[in-house]
Amino acid sequence: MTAFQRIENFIIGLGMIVIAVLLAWSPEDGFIAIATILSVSMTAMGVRYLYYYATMARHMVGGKAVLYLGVIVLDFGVYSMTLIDEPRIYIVVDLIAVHTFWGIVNLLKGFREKGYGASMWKLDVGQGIGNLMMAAASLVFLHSPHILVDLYSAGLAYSGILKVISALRRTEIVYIQ
Amino acid sequence: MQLDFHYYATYCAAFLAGYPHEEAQQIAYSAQFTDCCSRTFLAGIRGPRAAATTQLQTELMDVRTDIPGLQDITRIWASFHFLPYDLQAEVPGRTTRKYRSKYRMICGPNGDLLEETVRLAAGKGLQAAGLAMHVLADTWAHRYFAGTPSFVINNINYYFYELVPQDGGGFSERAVRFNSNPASPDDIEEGICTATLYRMSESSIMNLGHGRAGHLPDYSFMRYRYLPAWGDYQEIRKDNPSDYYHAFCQMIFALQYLRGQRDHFVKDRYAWDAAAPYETEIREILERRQADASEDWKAFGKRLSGKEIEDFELDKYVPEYMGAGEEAKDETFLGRFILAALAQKSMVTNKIYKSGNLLAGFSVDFAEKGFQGIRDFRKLLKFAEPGTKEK
Repeated sequence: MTAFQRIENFIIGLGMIVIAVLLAWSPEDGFIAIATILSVSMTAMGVRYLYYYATMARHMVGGKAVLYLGVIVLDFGVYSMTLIDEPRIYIVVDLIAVHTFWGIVNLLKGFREKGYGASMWKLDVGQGIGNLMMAAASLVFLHSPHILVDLYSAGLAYSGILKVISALRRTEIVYIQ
Repeated sequence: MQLDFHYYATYCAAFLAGYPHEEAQQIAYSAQFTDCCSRTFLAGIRGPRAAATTQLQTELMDVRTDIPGLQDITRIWASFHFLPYDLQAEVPGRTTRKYRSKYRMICGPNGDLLEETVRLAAGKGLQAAGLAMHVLADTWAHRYFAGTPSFVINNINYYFYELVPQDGGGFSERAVRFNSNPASPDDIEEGICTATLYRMSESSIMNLGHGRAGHLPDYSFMRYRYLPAWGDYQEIRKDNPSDYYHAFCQMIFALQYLRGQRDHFVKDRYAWDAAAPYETEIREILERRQADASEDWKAFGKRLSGKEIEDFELDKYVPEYMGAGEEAKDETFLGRFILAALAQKSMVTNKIYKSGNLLAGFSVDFAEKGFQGIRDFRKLLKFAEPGTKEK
């Protein structure tokens, strides 16, 4: 990682943590804010696909599909901004999908590690259970905006912390002749 | 490639290169172990995790595809399974630097890095020799794919046809059908193959290596034609039986060099003469339509040496490693393999970095800047000390 990438990762990670705290601090505004974040993210994703096509995918066999996807996602992102006053569905779908997926992945990895006798299997199984509980909690508290915002904020803060740690990690490989 | 070639065929190549049965088995074990030495395994034996030579499916599912994560993946897969063919390859047309970096990671046999790999293993013991044979063999099987996640390089599309040999000579063609259910085994007779999911994302782990083409590059009998994502709509015909025979004869040549029977290892040289008396038999094994040719290679190995080749047992050397004291671990079988793996990873990362390509991360030259970076590599200092090279 270059020094710039480290600083970038560090600032983004820190920003995610700050946003998570702010969201949890003010759940009423937080609800709308999260929906806005998701809409803006989708729009940004559309732009990113178009950039990806221009710089990389135009050289590949079948790369036009990236161009089409970019246009569609961008269009959908812009459209979804008009629905921000109905934000619950965004948050619930995001929470359930993300946490269920990572919960299953963590569990599979944990059980595989257990088979190898690796001590970290408990950590992964614990993370898997935690993720599945988050997904279940999102369903149970479907009608409680405050708790949904808290759950979303917790996930955001966790990702932010991982980004900060990643920015501080040693990554160089030594070459000895 | 799989156990059949990395373990049993490597044993046969080592024996034909002149190694006695026991040493040939250790070389074969090390070659196959390169497909097993994951971080999860290393954690289980309390070994240095930076020495991982592969990643389990479960590790890949959980891997972070941020910059350090991608560099880590690239270091592992490019160093041990998809050795880049030409780090300065010219890319047709006007392209971005990012695209060129990915393009130059495409694996192929007889690149400069192969020479470096084999020479690095010289005088470093049977474990390093076995590891180098794994890398060498994979350059043939995995050619045209890159050891870094890349949609624009590693993706394949529906234009993928198997060439099935006919009894009267010639080939018939049939479209290969890919499914993405990891629980369903390949159906060779029906031409159904399990491959990774289509993900239109440059850094998705689904686009690592030959995942999109499933196990087809790993079957010695397979011939196919397809359009690689990077190939500007130029069709490629892959002839595995021919490539695998080249790999086998090149392994013998390289092992003769590592054993001291040749003064130099030069790319694109093969020990045709050593394999010639058995060519018909070897080609028959390579051509036979079967998902696993282990039994055939095992029987061939027994005819060569007159001795039974032990089945591959992953934990064979674990008690020795676990039972050794901290100072003595590097002298154990697994300890030496770990040192060889660290050295190979360090060398390949350095060459990629020096070519101006940051996909494998940063490399710090010890001679210029002293020790910096991931602590596990400190072991290499000892590995490079005079007097320890011949162990």
